[in-house]
Amino acid sequence: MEETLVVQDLEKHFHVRRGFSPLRRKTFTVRAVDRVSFKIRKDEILGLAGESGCGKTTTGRTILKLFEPTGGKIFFEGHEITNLKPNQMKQYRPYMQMVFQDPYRSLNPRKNVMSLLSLPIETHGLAKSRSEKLEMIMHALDEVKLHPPERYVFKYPHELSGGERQRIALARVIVLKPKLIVADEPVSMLDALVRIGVLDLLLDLRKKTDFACLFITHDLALARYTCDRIAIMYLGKIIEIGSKDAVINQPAHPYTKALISAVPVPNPSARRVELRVKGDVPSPLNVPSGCPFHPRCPYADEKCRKEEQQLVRTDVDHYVACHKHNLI
Amino acid sequence: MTLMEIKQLSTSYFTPDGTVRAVEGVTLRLEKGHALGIVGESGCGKTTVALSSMNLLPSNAKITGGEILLDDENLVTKTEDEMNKIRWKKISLVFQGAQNALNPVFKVGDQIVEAIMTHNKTLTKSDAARRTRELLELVGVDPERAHDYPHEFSGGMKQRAVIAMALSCDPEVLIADEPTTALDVITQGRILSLIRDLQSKLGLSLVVITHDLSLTAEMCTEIAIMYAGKVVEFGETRDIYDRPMHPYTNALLGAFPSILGPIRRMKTLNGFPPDLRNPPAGCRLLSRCPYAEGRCKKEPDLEEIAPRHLAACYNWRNVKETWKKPS
Repeated sequence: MEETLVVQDLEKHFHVRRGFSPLRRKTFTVRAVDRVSFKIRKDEILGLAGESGCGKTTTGRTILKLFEPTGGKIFFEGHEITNLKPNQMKQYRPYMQMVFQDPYRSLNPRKNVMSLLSLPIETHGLAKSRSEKLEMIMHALDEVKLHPPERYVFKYPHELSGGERQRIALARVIVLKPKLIVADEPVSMLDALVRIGVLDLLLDLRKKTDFACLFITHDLALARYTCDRIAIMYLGKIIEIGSKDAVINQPAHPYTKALISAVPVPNPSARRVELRVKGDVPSPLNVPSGCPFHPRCPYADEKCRKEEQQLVRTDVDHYVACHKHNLI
Repeated sequence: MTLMEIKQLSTSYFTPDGTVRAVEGVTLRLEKGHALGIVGESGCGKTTVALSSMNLLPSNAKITGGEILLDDENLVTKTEDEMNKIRWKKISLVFQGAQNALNPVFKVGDQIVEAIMTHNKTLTKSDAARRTRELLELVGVDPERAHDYPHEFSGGMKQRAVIAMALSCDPEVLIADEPTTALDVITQGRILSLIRDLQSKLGLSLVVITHDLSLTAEMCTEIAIMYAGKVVEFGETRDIYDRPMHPYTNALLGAFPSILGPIRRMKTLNGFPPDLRNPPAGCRLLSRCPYAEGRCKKEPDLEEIAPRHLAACYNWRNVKETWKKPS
């Protein structure tokens, strides 16, 4: 099985009610994830990048079925899991795991490292004996480079630094030997030097244990460092996807171009040309017709206002959803 | 011309767990019209330097030594009343997390009017309202939006409004504490160019406090790198990036991925910054430094190694530029 995860036309729509008076109350649909398709091969890291509110976190959570999808299909290692009930999902759970953004909130402050790491092992009944469980925990701590493991097992989250906490969060996932990890901004709360340590750990572990990873981030420079392929989301849709070289070095969608040109470069003599776009991201309650980016796009014309372009292939591994990608 | 000078500033926080010496012997200089970047990781004391120079420290913190000279006046010895005449008129601060600095139950315009009238008691309300519209226009917000509440503003607009407020009394020095954190990339780029435009239009002198070395590369003329309460390197931006002389600066530069240039495996330092309640003797980077040796047990002073380039390291000659600049 080449692809660990295949997502086809995934949709997650939320219904929100606006207005206090029952007479004037209106229901709106937020298309948080709208017909999103992608594949992640085994041992591949796919970066999902975009600005806040573009639906990248919702996508991550929906593929793990933490949200019920409202449309489309999700295949995990060839098995369709879209409509599985929670108890049917249980057989796949150990292999599909998530690392959360904030290590200060994702670890229970009242449990020490030992109990934090015991929980997943016990839940999935992976250890036959106490000593086997202990061995697994020690091994996981060793894998995330918390040396020596004995020094960490009885510590509580408040005794650990941000980087150490995120390593515990990773150990908690690694202990299950997952096939797919969804990492939701795993390093955005960490300082620069600590951040690199955690990222390199993720890259090393991937080499060792071959898991597929969906790496959700808002930082394109970081995505370029970590990922093999990158998908750019805007208002619930993937507007460009491809190998990282293609997306970062030859961006084809004007939005991707704008995003990349806005990233500051750590070199005072570097010159970058900024592509200016108009206005702000519109409210997801009221997505523009046609191409969702057209009100802000410097190249938009009548066609962009009316018709939405689907992703089309422009190169070996490069897909873009723009009517005018070959004109700009 | 030197506009503001911080000399041997030390600030401590007095907590039930002991005294945290957050800033120790920091010396910095801001030239008129220049932009000084103060860079470091969380807990290095960069925000404390900003709060000290505004005399806005929390009640458990105290400046324990040194002077802050603004136009040859020492701000440290000023009384609260005297500081009130200086704050916002000569030196003003855009707080970190400015989105939350606006009061949600008052209109944005009214909050700016209030700030103006607090500092200029002689102004009438309609004068202040006129000034508010000018200010909003200056920072690129439609003046009509003055009647909106903060929740009707986007993150970038709130940041602009807070910058407008900080500029309301024509300060000479503007301190911006993490001006773009928590903003999206495109908005971040716009706020950066706004601050740069304002700087040249109004002849402002800037202090930018940030953890992000790519930000300072684009905004600042001089950079100070702070580690564990001390300035470890200070110099002109280009010198800092071209020839880092302190191992910490070198490590920090190597830890920022870039969107340009080749992708290289990045390096990091082992370990963590020391506990400032009980800082170790000697160089504060000692336990983490790849160049550490015996003499580092005695703390090195910040010395001028090249013209206008200071570093606090005995081994500055050996600090090799281990990172490649993205072109």
